[in-house]
Amino acid sequence: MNQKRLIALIDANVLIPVVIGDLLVTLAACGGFTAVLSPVVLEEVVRNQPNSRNRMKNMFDFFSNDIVQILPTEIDKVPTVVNRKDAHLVVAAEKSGSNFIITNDSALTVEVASGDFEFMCIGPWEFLLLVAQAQPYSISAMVEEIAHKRRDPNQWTVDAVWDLILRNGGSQARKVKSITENYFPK
Amino acid sequence: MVKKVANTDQASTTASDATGDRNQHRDAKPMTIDTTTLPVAAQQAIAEVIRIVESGGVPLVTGDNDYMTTSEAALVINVTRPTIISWIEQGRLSAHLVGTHRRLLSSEVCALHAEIQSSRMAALDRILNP
Repeated sequence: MNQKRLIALIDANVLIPVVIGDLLVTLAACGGFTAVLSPVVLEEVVRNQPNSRNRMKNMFDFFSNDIVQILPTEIDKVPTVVNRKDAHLVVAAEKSGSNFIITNDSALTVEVASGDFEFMCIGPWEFLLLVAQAQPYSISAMVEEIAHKRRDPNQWTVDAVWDLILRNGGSQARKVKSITENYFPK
Repeated sequence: MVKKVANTDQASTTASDATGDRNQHRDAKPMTIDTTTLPVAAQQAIAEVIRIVESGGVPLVTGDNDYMTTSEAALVINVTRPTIISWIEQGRLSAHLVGTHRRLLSSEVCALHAEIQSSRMAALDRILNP
């Protein structure tokens, strides 16, 4: 058995928005990638966005086995090219052997690109597209799982989940659907 | 020996069931192929392999007394290898050394996978239905 899965650290700004956050969590549940979190993310969200507290609590229940513990001394070693507020993400990504940090933070993306790291930042929809290209069956499983788990099965069909994805993900979502449908033709 | 089947690509047992009847394999009856009658446990294992392959996954078949590397255990449970190593150090998983390499009992890894996946799916249910 010599397979590998993508490992990706998820930034809080990706988990809070409902649609993309739900997609990524479900994709991780379906084995589409190995997700990891930094414990600082939870503290930040609870402090800055109290309305998202319950959602993040459930997120951390889901990811409870995948939270990377970080020591203050490790933060100090992060190159200064990275803003101190984001240093915990870099430490968590390094310690977990992540391939990517999934984030909407363009400043962090630039900082990581200019440093000597073995991972890179990627936007959430771009990441879904990457997974679709590598393993379209995981995307199909993700969509079916959401349709299955959401209450009101009459409303949440597979087609309805795809509509939601297309409304939120723009051209990258259209490519994700196209790749997945080509793999599983109707 | 009954073999355990784990899906290394789609760790959720419910996630990829949508390709067919979710309860189909539970209703399996003994069947005969040529002159060999398959025990129900073997049928269920084969049905699980077929289901995983149909949904695009890659099945891993392992015996209760087989051993895995830490990388293989990480793949099965869908956590990182450092997490597996920390669990060994904390005593959550047991391992023995072959030379300098850790080996884990596959039955123990599969049992932990089932436990973790169950709690993940319960949390996912709360996330998708707030």
